[in-house]
Amino acid sequence: MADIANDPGRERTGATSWTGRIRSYLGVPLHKHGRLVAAVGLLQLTPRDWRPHEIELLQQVANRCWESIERARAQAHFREQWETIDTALANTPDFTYTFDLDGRFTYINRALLSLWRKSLDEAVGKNFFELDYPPDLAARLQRQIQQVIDTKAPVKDHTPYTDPLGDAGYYEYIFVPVFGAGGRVCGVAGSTRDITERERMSRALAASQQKLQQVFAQAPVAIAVFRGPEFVVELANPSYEALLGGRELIGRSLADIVPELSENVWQAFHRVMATGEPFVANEFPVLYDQNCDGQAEDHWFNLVYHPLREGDGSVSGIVAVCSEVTAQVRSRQDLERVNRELEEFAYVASHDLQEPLRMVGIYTELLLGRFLPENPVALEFGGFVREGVQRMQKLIQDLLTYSRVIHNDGASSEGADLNESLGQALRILGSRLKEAGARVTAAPLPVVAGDTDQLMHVFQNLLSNSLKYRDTGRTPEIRISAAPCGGQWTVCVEDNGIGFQQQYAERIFGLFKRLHKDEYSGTGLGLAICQRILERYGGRIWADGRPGEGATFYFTLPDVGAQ
Amino acid sequence: VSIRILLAEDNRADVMLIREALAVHRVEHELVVAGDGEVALRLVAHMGEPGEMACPDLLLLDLNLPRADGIEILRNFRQHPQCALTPVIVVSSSDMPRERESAAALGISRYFRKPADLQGFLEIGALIKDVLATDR
Repeated sequence: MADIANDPGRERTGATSWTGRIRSYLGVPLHKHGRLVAAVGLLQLTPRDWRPHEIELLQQVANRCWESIERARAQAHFREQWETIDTALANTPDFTYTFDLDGRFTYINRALLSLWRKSLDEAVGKNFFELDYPPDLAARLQRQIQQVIDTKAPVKDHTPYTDPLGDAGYYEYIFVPVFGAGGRVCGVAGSTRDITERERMSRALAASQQKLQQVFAQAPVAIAVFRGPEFVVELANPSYEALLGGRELIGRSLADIVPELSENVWQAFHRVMATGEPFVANEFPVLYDQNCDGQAEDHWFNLVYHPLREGDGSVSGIVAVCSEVTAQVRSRQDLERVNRELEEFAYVASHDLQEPLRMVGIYTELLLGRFLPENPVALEFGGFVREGVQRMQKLIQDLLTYSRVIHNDGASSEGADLNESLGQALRILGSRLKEAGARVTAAPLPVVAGDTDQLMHVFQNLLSNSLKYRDTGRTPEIRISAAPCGGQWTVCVEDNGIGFQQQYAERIFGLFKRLHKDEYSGTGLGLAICQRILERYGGRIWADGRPGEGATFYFTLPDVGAQ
Repeated sequence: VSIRILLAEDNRADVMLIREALAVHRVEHELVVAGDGEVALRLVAHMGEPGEMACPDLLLLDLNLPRADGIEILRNFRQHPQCALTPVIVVSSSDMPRERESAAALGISRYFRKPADLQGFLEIGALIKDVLATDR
């Protein structure tokens, strides 16, 4: 506007005192992306015809001014952004950093700086060597930075470290290329993470898995996992493989592996799959060919078939845990057979052995009584026959008692009241005790592990021994007492009979062992029977003796609470 | 009055001893001896039929007989309509509780265990008299 006086819009602008003095002005607009963002004006107090180069000059000045403003704004913006990023990176536990193409640090976040105890200015521009890294590690890291620059590809690696407290740890780090204009690598950015905990956990996991694997592999029980309706073996430990004679198991179906398998196993498997309930059995018989010799045989197992459930609760397989007890079952069956045979033997002994003896005895009497009733020699011989028969009968009966004692278990959980056992024995021996004029004194006796009747046998045998080997020169005295000793009771039966030499103290418990063979009758089984009875219930028996001074028999039995 | 006795006993020596005991104790009797289990079963099956043995007044039964079980003989004997209450004495050389129990379950008067001495054995005569006096 050369002269404002000629401006038709003057009234609109609202003239002020100073604007009233302005006569001419020059204004240029500033457009950015088609939008008016600013204007620059030049005012003069005198009218002026603005020349084109003046307009051009002002336009250029305006453009420059705007550029400066924009640059300043951009810088401020960049700074703000940078502060934001730096703050963000400063507060991550990971280390973040960048390198220039020479492998020198251009940026280091606060976490790493505080580890180094350095300021940014101290560290920037240095490489790992200059930051006093161990030479080996520094060389490796510098090489890896160069590799990223050369290959334009990231490098990922990890390294152990020792912290200032001396604890070992692990870092995992990654270096990635930073691309500038034209796809050119203009730097390398990196980040490092402490993976000590992760590493420790994964090592612990690996170790525990290894332990589990060892348990699985070395378990004395056989373990296998079967999957799906065909029961395909997914997993089987060596014990399980051994049960199947080393057949190939993994990935094969049960029917394929053991076609001869007995029906009861199939029923159990199908039941577990159908009901989802575990199948538990002891001494479960399984008919199959264990050693692959073409002969299926019965084997016995203590086993559990446990269902394997999916997330939705459906049963998808079975874990079988078995331990073979065939040997135990067989030996028990053998024992049962032996016991049966022994019972048969007892019957044979009681009937078939005693029968002929009975005939011999009775018909000898008849023969002598009827045909040689007056012949003293014949009667004497007859007496020998009778004695022989009686001895033989006693032997057979004692043998029977002996075998019954070994094989019958009559012990009740309440134990045996020794007072009752002794009482019974005294009643049975009543007449003999009276005959011998024996004096028996008994202290109160305990309740012990064992069977009242069998322990009556023990007292009967010991008392009868005392009577048999009494000293005819004095009144027989028998004292019975008991004393506790560490969960056991020691019972003592003491007499004043003829005694015996201590050197025989062990021999007298042998089968058919008799010290006084000639003068005293007996089968030599009594003490052996006592010993067997006491051993059955965890006790023992021994004897002390001095010739002419009597014998003392001791036996122990567990206290009834200590069984 | 003569007593009809059926004796099931395979041991001839024992048969003779029983005869001896009956004589010693003056038991008037007719004795029918079944020498093994099979014979005894057959006799029991046909007791009382025409031409066969009449039902006895007493059965003396050894439980251990060849070819048939004594318990089975006793059971068949008890099932005969006229012998349900006839006295039975078991004469046995064994003393198996199981045998004693099964015999007792079928109903017997006495269980006589054959003694090993003559005097003891002859006591069976007194026992027979006693049983006939009380159980018949």
